[in-house]
Amino acid sequence: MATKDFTTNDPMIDPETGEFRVLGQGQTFNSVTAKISDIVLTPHTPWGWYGFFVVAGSVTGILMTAVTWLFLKGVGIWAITQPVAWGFAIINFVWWIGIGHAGTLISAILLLFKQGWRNSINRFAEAMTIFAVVCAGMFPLIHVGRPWLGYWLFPLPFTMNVWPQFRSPLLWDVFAVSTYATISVVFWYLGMVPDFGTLRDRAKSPFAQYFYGMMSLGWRGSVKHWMRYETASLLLAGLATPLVLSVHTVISFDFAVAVLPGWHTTIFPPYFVAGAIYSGFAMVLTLAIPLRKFYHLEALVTERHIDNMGKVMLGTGGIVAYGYGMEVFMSWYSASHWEFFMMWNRMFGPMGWAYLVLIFCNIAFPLTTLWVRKWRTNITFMFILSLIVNTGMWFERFVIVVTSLYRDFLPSSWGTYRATKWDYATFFGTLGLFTFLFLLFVRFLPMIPMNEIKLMLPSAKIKPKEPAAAGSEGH
Amino acid sequence: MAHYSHAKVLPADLSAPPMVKAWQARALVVAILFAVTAVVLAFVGGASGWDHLWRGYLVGLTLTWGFSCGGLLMLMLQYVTGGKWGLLLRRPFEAMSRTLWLIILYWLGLGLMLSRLYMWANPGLVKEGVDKGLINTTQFNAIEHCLQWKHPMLNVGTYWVVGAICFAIWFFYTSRLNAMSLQRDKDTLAATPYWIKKFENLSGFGIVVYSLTMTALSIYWVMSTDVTWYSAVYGLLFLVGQAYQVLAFAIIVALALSKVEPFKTILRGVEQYDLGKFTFAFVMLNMYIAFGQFLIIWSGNLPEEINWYMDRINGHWGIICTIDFFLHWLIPFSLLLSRDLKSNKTRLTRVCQIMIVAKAFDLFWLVEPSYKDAARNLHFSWGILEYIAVPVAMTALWVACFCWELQRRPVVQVNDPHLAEILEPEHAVA
Amino acid sequence: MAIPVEGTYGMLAEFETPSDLVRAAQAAYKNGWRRMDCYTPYPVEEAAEAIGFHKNRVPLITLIGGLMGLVAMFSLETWISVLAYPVNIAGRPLYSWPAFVVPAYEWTILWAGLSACFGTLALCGLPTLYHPLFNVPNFRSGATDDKFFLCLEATDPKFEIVSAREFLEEQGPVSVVEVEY
Repeated sequence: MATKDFTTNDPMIDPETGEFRVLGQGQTFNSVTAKISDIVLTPHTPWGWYGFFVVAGSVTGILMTAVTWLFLKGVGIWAITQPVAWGFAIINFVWWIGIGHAGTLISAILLLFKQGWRNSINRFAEAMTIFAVVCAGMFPLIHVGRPWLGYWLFPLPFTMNVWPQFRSPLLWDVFAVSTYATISVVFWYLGMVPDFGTLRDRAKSPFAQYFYGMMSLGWRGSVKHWMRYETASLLLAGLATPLVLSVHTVISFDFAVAVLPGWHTTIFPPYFVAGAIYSGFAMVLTLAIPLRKFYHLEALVTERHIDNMGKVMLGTGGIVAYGYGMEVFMSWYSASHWEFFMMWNRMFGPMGWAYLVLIFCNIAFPLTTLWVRKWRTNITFMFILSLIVNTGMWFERFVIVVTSLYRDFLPSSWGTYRATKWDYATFFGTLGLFTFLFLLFVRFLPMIPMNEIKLMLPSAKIKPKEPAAAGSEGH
Repeated sequence: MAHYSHAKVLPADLSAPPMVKAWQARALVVAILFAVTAVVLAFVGGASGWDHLWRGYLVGLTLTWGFSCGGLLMLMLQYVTGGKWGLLLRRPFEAMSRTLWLIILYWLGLGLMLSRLYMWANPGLVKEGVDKGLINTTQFNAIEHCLQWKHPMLNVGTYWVVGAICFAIWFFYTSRLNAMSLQRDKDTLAATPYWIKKFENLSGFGIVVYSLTMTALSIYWVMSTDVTWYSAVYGLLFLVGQAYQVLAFAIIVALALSKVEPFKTILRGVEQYDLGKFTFAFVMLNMYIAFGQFLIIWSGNLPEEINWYMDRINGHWGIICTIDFFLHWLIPFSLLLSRDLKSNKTRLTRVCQIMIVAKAFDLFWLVEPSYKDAARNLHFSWGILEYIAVPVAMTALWVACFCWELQRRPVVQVNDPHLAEILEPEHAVA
Repeated sequence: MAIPVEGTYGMLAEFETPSDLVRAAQAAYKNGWRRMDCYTPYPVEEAAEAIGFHKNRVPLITLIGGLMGLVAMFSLETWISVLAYPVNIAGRPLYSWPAFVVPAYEWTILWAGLSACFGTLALCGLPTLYHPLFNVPNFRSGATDDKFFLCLEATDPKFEIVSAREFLEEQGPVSVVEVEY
């Protein structure tokens, strides 16, 4: 708890606000460049990186196997059947894409709100977005049964004269997710262009010079270019913000537009978005905490970042909890027998355990402990918490999908759902793919935006010339 | 050559400028004029005139509640998020929150009208509707079922208990936050980190509690005017709507104050622009939630839900609903998109005024079609004008009360880490 | 556009701090130089303002792109659902505008975003993999790291090798170099 006579010797704490500093002290332009670009340009890849790479690669192998088998046999290898026609594929799709949203939130919304602390983490959060979207986008494609006909989703002029029908949220998904992937890549790439310039200029090997030179598009740091670039970044941020909201909203429409109790709820859009950001921040923590340790980035990703992410999780988790509460309340207030039964069944039916897991992981544990500042800045604790929230958010989607479906209007059609080993293999396989891509990213691309960090350094402030020419007075 | 403008100095006198007193007087006159008009209209309109007066009163209550408790919400929000906008708008927000006593009076007043406004408070209203042929058998069955099912919540006793609990909680937060703010001013600058944390801790939990209590009253006051309808996002829509109207109002106040000291010194172009952007975000968010609710119910097309929209779109309500869309979203959205507009004080004020009118208009659209004589059938009567007279009178009285509260303490807080930054010249010139 | 001085792109001065650069840029603008540019490792808004670069056209391009996306998708949806392939879906009208809003919205953002990105690159004339400035060794080693540059370009009518060098040397630079094509 806060005490009034506030003194500290911790150099990481800013005496003016009592908060942790966003950046460690004593950084210069050059030290920032060196620290970040050396991770990429070093000829000595750390052994640990190889270790993770091999593990992640093998897990990706499992995914490849599962998908190949799926293509050979069809979706019958999964547990989906009537009445639970949507299973792991949709759960994983929503889970992954939700994780991606925190990256956009950090890079776009926090940029608009001038939250300087985001600068240290936005790049790898954006990378996380893109890799999460890769994993997410795979599921609907492999779920369609005949993925080679996937292009039917788009409004293309076929000889059959058949067109997609635009009143279905599943088609909205096609546009939402493809736009999201495109804009995320554009935003991410454009953000890296100046940093590629830096890497090009610092690279020693001709191959690296050539590679980063091409990637940098010949960036030379002209302030005219910088100004357009800044405008474009702000505009892209301004576009990505409503986009990220719309993407998870459209995903919530996949459910809410149907008339099934448990899915047809007007709170779904905001509550899905909040849940997405909640799980996404958890994933950022899961990635950032080991990374800062492994690459010694403690001065750039500080306790302040961890603390702030904890606060964002507290806020979005609060909205999620509000959503759960309103769902339960409305199932009664609606005065509808079906709504009421669905909620009773969700909580106390045969799959009630899943609801309990979800309440514990998303509400009971994080939303009580995150209030405490000391725990929010405890790195180990936050790492564990992030894993718990990730689990909880997966279960949230499980509960929404499965418990709304398995006991619908007619008791004679009630069934259950039990995932097969191929369901699990595909899911864990995407975890491997995600890690695999992420490892490639940290090795070959600048994972912290150098130019944005430099902008925050005290030496970047434009100072007036000392009145008595050329500083003869000192200060 | 190297010209350099130094940081500005905070004026010695931070109290509210004398013009606030003039606003207060003007608002009182408007309140009295419109209150008299309201009563005259009620006499002219007869029984339906009086009914509309009560409904107008409900709109006025909801609107002023949005300003007052929305002010409390934004006050807590700025403590939690930190940032420069908090320093700028803290005192206006505090003054808004301190008008809570007026809202409590309004709320007690609403108690006298329950039997004319809510079917759950007076089952006679259902019978009346059936007798007049306004409620058909299907509707009657649905209403009867809902009244029975929801009786544990929707009854007069529970209504009073829940309202009292909510107001007690809000009173606690309002008085705590306002009292602590003065203590923080008296304390030294070195103690600011302590206060920041203390405010943050209180406000963080406060927002949670506020969201829940606000949802409860939004259901009692507005949603339950139609006992059969339900929407889970309703509370959130109100929460965002309150932020929408409070930001618009706060910007109007800040811009008007910035004509003279001390706001002249502290309101820079950058922060004005940022406030415009922030408002834009709420314009978007408000539309987003409203459209999401509409699209879900429209697609579902369930008899339990769709009628609520049918009541509000059919007949001439389509026109009202279109105007609402323009005022509420399209106009503020298109205008606030412009960079130049957000930097222009007069024009930004205009947009904010439109937003407040839109909010009142939206409440009219939410409330009036809930009553069976107006559902799917907007018709002009003297009574309809009550929706202008009563809310304007109540809001004007509220504004007078706000101005009075605003004068009671300095309009700028001094112990704030952002103060130095806000006093810097806008563009550092070397 | 004037034909550049044969063999010379401009005169390049290196500065240690952003403040020095901004001062020099302001001085140059006041001195009547117009064709010049600053090069910095991160955006320095003050430097852009000092050389008279205030507004850019990226927002306009983005707005136009966004509106095009909106119109394109909404028309496509309406044409497909009403004329090309009318199907009754759960009794919803053929012209289901509430449903059409969603993809039209996504395309607004898609087109606006792509316009912002490619518009910026086009306005900046990127990609330009070769540029005379890259011939200067200290530019290569510092411009994207921690040094700040001001380049007076040879296309400026005022440009003359000796006077440009003299002017820049008065501004307290670390070095002044002639940039060759």
